[in-house]
Parts: sequence; C-alpha cells; structure tokens
Amino acid sequence: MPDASPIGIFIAGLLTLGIFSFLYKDNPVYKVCEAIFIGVSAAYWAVEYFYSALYRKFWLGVFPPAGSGVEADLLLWGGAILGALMLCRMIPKINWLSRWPLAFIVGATAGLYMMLFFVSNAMKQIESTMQPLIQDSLLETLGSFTIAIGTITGLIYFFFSKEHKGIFGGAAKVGIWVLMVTFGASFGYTVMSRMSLLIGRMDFLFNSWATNFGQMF
Amino acid sequence: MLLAVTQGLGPVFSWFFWITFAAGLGWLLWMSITGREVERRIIFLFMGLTVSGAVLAGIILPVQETTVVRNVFDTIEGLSEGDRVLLSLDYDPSGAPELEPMAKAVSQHCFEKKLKICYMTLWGTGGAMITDVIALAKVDFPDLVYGDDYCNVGYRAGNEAVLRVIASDFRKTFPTDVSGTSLDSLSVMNGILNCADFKYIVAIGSGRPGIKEWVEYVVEPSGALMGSGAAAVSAPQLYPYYPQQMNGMMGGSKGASEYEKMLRRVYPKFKSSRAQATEIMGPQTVAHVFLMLLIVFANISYFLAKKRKGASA
Amino acid sequence: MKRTIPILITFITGGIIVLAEFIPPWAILREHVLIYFQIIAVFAFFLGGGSLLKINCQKVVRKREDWQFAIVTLVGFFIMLALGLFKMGNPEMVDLGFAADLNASGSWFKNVFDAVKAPLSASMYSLLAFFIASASYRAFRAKNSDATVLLVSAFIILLGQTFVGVVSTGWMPEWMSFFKVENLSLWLLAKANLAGQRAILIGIALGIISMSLRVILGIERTHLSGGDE
Repeated sequence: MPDASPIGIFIAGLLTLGIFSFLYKDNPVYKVCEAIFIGVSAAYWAVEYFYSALYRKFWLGVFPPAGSGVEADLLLWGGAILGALMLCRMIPKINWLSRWPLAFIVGATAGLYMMLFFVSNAMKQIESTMQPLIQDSLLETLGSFTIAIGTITGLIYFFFSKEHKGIFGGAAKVGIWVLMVTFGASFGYTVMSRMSLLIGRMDFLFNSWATNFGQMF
Repeated sequence: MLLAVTQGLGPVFSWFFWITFAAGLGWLLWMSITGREVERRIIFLFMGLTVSGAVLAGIILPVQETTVVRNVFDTIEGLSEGDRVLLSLDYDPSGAPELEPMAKAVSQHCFEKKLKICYMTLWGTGGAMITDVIALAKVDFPDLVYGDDYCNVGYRAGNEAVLRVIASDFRKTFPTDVSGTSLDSLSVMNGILNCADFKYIVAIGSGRPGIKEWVEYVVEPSGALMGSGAAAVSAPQLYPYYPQQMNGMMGGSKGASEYEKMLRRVYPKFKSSRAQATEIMGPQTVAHVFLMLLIVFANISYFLAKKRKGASA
Repeated sequence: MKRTIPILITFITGGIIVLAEFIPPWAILREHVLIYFQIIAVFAFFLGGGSLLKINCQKVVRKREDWQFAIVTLVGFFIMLALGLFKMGNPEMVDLGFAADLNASGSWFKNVFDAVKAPLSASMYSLLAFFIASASYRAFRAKNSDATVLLVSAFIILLGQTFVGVVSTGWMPEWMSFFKVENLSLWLLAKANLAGQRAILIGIALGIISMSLRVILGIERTHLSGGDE
C-alpha cells in the first residue's frame, strides 16, 4: 500500500496486533478482528464480482453505451438466466432448479480439466521425461537418470493395484524416498514463504507503523 | 553475521538483545537435552524475537543469481522497444511481501526498456495489488501515460474459464479496461487478439488460479512464451513445467531478490529504489537458522529419550 | 426432470468443450460456454454471500453464542459493500461515473482495503510462521529412513536459499562445487524434486481425466445431491 494514509496505517497496525494476540490465546480482540475480516472480505468480493462480471461483462455487453459502436451480445442473457437459477437454492420449493447452473459449471469444468490435464499434465510431462539419459556432462547424466528413475518409481508407488513386494516393492521404496525429497523441498519452501510473510508484517510494524505512530502522537 | 546484526540497533541494546537471545537458546537446548516439555508459546516468543531482532537490525546479505531467474530477466532484456508484455498479478495481500517486489522489479525493467505492459489479474483482490504495483513503478517513471505505456484490464471471475478464452480471444473476456474504456482505443492493445500476441507473459501468483493454470490453459493451447514469479510455497510444484512450458521462474523472496540484483547490476539507476525482497533476505536467513536449530534441538531430545528408554528396558 | 436435465446439461457442456479441441469450428461454442461459466460463477458467489448474511443474521436474532461478533461481521460487510457499490470518494467518479476503477488510488474502498483487509489477511497468514516453528520443534523427528530423507532434503533447501548456505560450504574447492549447499539445493529442486512432483502431477492428471469422463458421461452424480429429490 504505497499511498496509504496515516490513519489507515494506524488502523492496520492495530489490526495486525489484534491478530497476533491469538498467539497468546483465543481472545475477544482476535475474534473482533476475525469478524471484521470475514465481513469486509465478503463485501470486497461481492463488489468486485458485481462490477467486473455483472456490470462490465454482462450489463455493458447486453446494453452497450450509445455511440460505442459495439453490438449488443444478447447471448449473454443465457448466462444471466442460468446464474439467476442458482439463487433458487435459497427457495426450498424450487431449489432443484439450482442444479441446472451447477450442472453447467460441473460439465464445463470437467470438459476443461479432461482435455487440458491430458495435454499439459499427462502427455507433456511424459514427453519431458522421455529424454536421452546420456548427456554431455556426468552431472547432467546423473540428473537425467534421477528424473527418469524418480518419476517412474514415484508412479510405481502410486500404483496400488499390485502388492508392493519384490522388485516392485523395492522400486516403490525408491519412489517413497523420491517423494520424501519432494516433500522436504516443499517444506523448505513453505517455511521460506511463511517467514517472508511474517517478516513483511514485522517490517510494517517496526518501520511504517512505528514511524507513523511517532508522527501522529 | 552477529556483528552485521548489531549495525542497525544501538550497539548496547543490540548486544544485550542477542546475548539474552543466545542464553534463551541455550535454555531451550538444556530443556531438550533433559527431555522436558517446552510450552508452545515460548517457541512463539522465540520466533517473534528472532524475526523482530533481524528486521530491526536491517541486515542485508548478498544473494547469488541463478539461471532459472536469469532466464526471465534475459527474456525481457532481449525484447525491443514497443513490444507488449502481459503481467498477471494473481495474489492477495497475504502474498504481497514475496510477490510485490517481483511485480515491481519486472514493471521497472519493462518500463526502462520502453516495453508496454498490460496488467490483469485472476484474483478478485488482485485489482488492488495492480494499483499498488503501478504506483510503485511510477515513482521511477512519473511520465508514464495510461493507454500508451500501460493499461489495466483488471479482474474477471471464472478462473480457468477466463484463461481458456483469452488464450484464443482476449477481447471476448476483456472487451474493456478497468474503467470501461474499449481496448480498441488503447494503443497498448493495438493488434493484440490473443495471449500469443504478447511477446512475453509474466504470471506472478501465489496459488490457484495462478501459474499452473496459466501453463495449462494458455501456454499449452496458444504456444505463448511465459515466465513466472511464484510464492515460495508453490515454487517446488512448478519445476516440472520448467523450462519446456515456462522459460524461467522467480521463486519466493529469494527469486525476487535475485531479479532486483540483476536489475541494479544492468541499470544502476535503480540502486536508489527500495529493494524490498533483498531487505527480506537478511531476516529470512536468521529465521531459517533459528528454525533449523529448533529441529536439531528436537532431534537431540528425541534421540536422548530413545537412548534413555533403551537403557531402562 | 429434476435429475435428467442436469445430467444432460453436464453432458452437453462437457462434450462441447472436449469436442471443440477436435473440431475447430466448435471453438466459438466453447467460448460461449466459458463466458456463461464466468457469469454463473458470479451468482454462485452471491449465493455464498447470501448464505453468510443469513447465518450471521440468524445468530444475532437468536442470540446464539458469540452473536456480538456476528454484528461486527455484518457492520463490516455493509460498510464495505456501500463504499464499493456507490464508489464513495472515488476520484475517477467525476469523469467516468460508475465506470470508474473500483480500486483507484484514493478511493474509500481502496483505503479501507489497505487499512483493514490487507493487514488482516497478511497477518492471518503470517501466524503460520509461528505454528510452523512450533510444529517443527514438536514433530519433525528423524524416526526412520523416510523421515530422515525428508529432514535432510528440507535442511539443504533451507540452507541453500540463504547466505548461510553459501558461507557454510564456501571453503570447498572448485572440483567439489556440486556439493556446495547452494548448488546441491538447486540440483535437488530441479532434478529429484522435479521427479517427485512429476510423478504426483501425472498421477493427479490420470485421476482427473477419469473423474471428468465419469462426470461428463453421467456416471458420477454426487454434485446433483441435496435439495428435493
């Protein structure tokens, strides 16, 4: 927030401390902050959705401003009608109508996922794994072997239709180790991410907020 | 490093702080060795003190450049004046400490190279993030003209559906910018019909929808060239896409600080601009060391307890 | 009718998107489906918002436990809603009217976002740093070979991302450079981690493909449960 006002910074600091108070124990100050967060967030999303989709996409699409040269897209009414049916969920007698837009969303998502996961996450990843194992340097060769063996053994571990015994069990064990390295890396990066957030808050409290506090009082 | 820590605070207070802190760690080690329980709030207190002390000390530590980040920098460096870049900021305030420095550095780089940026977001809260990043970039480029040098098409609901449509027809989802101005009247968007028309896409994101979805729904079907900036928490999951489906990636504060370093090396004028990510990396290092010490203490405690159990059995 | 039509809708929308990949002229149909998707998604959110209001109002009226906090939620909701819907204090309103950028610098909506939503959101997530520290101290033990591999990998990454890693193995000669922590960390990420992530990714992809097919063909119908049968 590069252009935040002094009062805004002051309130932001108080709310930050309010959330941190949870570290001692759950308390009314934290609960107030939590309640504000829920209310303000829900309203933020409602307004953002209202203007970005309903106003800019639907309303201006169906009723384009005069002189803009844009033709009205009457097909958008279909989406709006289906969307409105979603609200029938609130009326017990006709709540079954809300299944229509839901079915639409589920069908579209399934169609999108099916094709794109097939192309970019299955085919492309398999293609990227099927590379020459012998490379220019020993390190690169080691890397290629690690990727190939790691991917195959990782997949073997996920194959539960056959008992993990013998050679298959050995490969699954290697697969577990590969996955453990992966989880270790994820843990390391998660720590990094969360620490960055905490440092960001501390930086705000000790620099922006404290300086602002000094200037205000 | 301890000496570096003392630079920011008054020396007496600083030494007092770190000596007390070291004594506290010694106590924690003693508790671990003797197998006694440490209350979680004490761990919280240590964590808070570690990060607070490191932030107050203002430690700045050197950062090493890596190829995966350099690829993003070099791609932008290789673009010509007037080329269009799509910058998608898919995060909220909780991801800002890591991701805002990346967005700012990439924006500064693009504007310095006289590239034109189209900002967009897949997150409802991203609109506010775009406003902040533009304000930060404008500090160094106050003469930027909206519509000619950059534009902001804002947010649309629909996650993957938005991406799948803009991959083939950008205006179908974004007929206007964030203020209702038709994209046809913005020179930044001249000739841009779909995502592949942008010379480079930089997706900066911290979750879903984010970089993964950009690769799946835009890069794959349209063949657009893409780099990314990921929150550290999601960075390891994105390596399978590098370098085939995205040519580079900035991972967390480390990646952002590398980009800041490269930018300042090539364009010294940015040395006067605040390097937010580089400032984070000092306290980050101290926090990592503290966490590793905790894990070591915990394992000492575990092995000693196991040994004691074995001896008594 | 209550079940057959939704199954048909799912089949047709899913089918259009899948077939559009093979029949290029159908791309226009796919785009229409996806635009509808975007509009319906908004109503789905309004449904969620309405539900939140309903629950909180009921809490206040029936004076359930912590009803006072529900009032705070409602007040916060309506204030932010009014600021945003009427674009109060938005400097762009003078020229653009209601087309003004919602998040324009200086607008009251953006100011409240900066002063309230942004710090609350960032602070909520930063609490996780404390819980990670506590959990690491309590649960991160090298109990067996799998846990040890995880621990070592995490340590290398944690060290490799910071200057401590560079210093700790900076003494190593050039021929041992692979074992320098920063290089080892990069190698782990780009090779071993990649292999594991790729295995997970392929596994997930195969699962999602089969699940999507079940949904489109109407074999999987759990999303149609609830409400009147």
